[in-house]
Amino acid sequence: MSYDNERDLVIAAKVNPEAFGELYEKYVARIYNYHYRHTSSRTEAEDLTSRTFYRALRSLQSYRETGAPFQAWLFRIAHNLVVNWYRDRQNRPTVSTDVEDAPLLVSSIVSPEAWVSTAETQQKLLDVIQSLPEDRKTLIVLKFVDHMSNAEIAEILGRTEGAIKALYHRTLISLKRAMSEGAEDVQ
Amino acid sequence: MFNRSTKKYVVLQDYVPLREQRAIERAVVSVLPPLHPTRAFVEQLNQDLVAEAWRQYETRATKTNQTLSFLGLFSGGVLSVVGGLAIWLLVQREHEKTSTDLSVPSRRQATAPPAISISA
Repeated sequence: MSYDNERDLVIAAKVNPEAFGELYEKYVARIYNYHYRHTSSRTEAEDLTSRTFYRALRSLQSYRETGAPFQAWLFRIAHNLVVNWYRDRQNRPTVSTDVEDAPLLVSSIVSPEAWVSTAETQQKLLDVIQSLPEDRKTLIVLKFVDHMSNAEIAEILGRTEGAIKALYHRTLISLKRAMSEGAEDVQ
Repeated sequence: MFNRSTKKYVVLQDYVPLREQRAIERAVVSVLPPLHPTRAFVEQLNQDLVAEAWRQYETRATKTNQTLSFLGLFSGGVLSVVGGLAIWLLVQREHEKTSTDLSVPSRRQATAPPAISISA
C-alpha cells in the first residue's frame, strides 16, 4: 500500500505492521550508514541498526508529530544508541580540535581547494574524521552525507540551532587544518 | 584591559569562506561514500521487525479487549446495583403510599353522618 506522505505512513505504522516495514525500508540504509560512520564496523553497525528500529517500533505509539520530522525522531534514537556505544567502549580516541588549542591560524594555512585527493590524503582525512569527538562526527555525517539542516541536526543532538552552527564552524576549521596539512605533505 | 577567553568565541581569522566550505564538503563526501547494508541483513531485519510489530499489535489488541470486557462487566455490575436500588426505592414508596391510603379515612367518610340503626 502506498501513502501520499510520510506523515500518513507514520500514522499507519502505529496500527499496521506492513506500514512500519515501509518506514524501515525507507530509512534502513541511512541509519546503517550513520552507525557505520561512527563504529567503522559492519557488525556493530548492523547491531546498532537493529536496536534503533526495535526501539523505534517500541516507542512509535508515543511518537507525536510536534514540528520535527519523523527522520529527526529516528536519528535521535540512533544518536542516543551511538552515545551509549561510545560510553560503553570508553577507549574512544579523541583529538583536541578546540580553537584555543590550535597553534596555527587557519588563515595562514593552505586552502582546502589546494587539497589534492590521493589515497594518502584521503586516508589522513578519514583518520581525522574518525578521531573527531562523537558530536562532531555526527554533525559531519548528518550535514554532508544526509544533507540535513542545522535545525534538524539540533533536534537530533538535543541542542540549539546556534550551538550547532558554532559546532559546525569549529568542525570545519578542524577539517580545513587537517586537509591543509595533508596538502602540504603531498607538496 | 580585558583578557577575554577565546573559548566561547570563534576567532574572526578562523572564518571559513563558503567556497572553502564547499571544498571541505566535497572532500569529506569523497572519503565517506554511502555504505549500504547487505541485502540479507536488510531482509532478515525487515522480517523480524514486521513479526515483532504483529506480536505487539496483537498483544495491544488483547489488552484492549480485556480492558473493555472488564469495564463492561464493572459498569454492568454498577448499573445492576443502581437499578436494584431504584426498584427497591420505588417499591418502598409505593408500599408507603398504599399503607397511607388504607389508614387515613377519606374526606367523604370523615364528614358522613353516623349511620342510624332503627330497630323495631
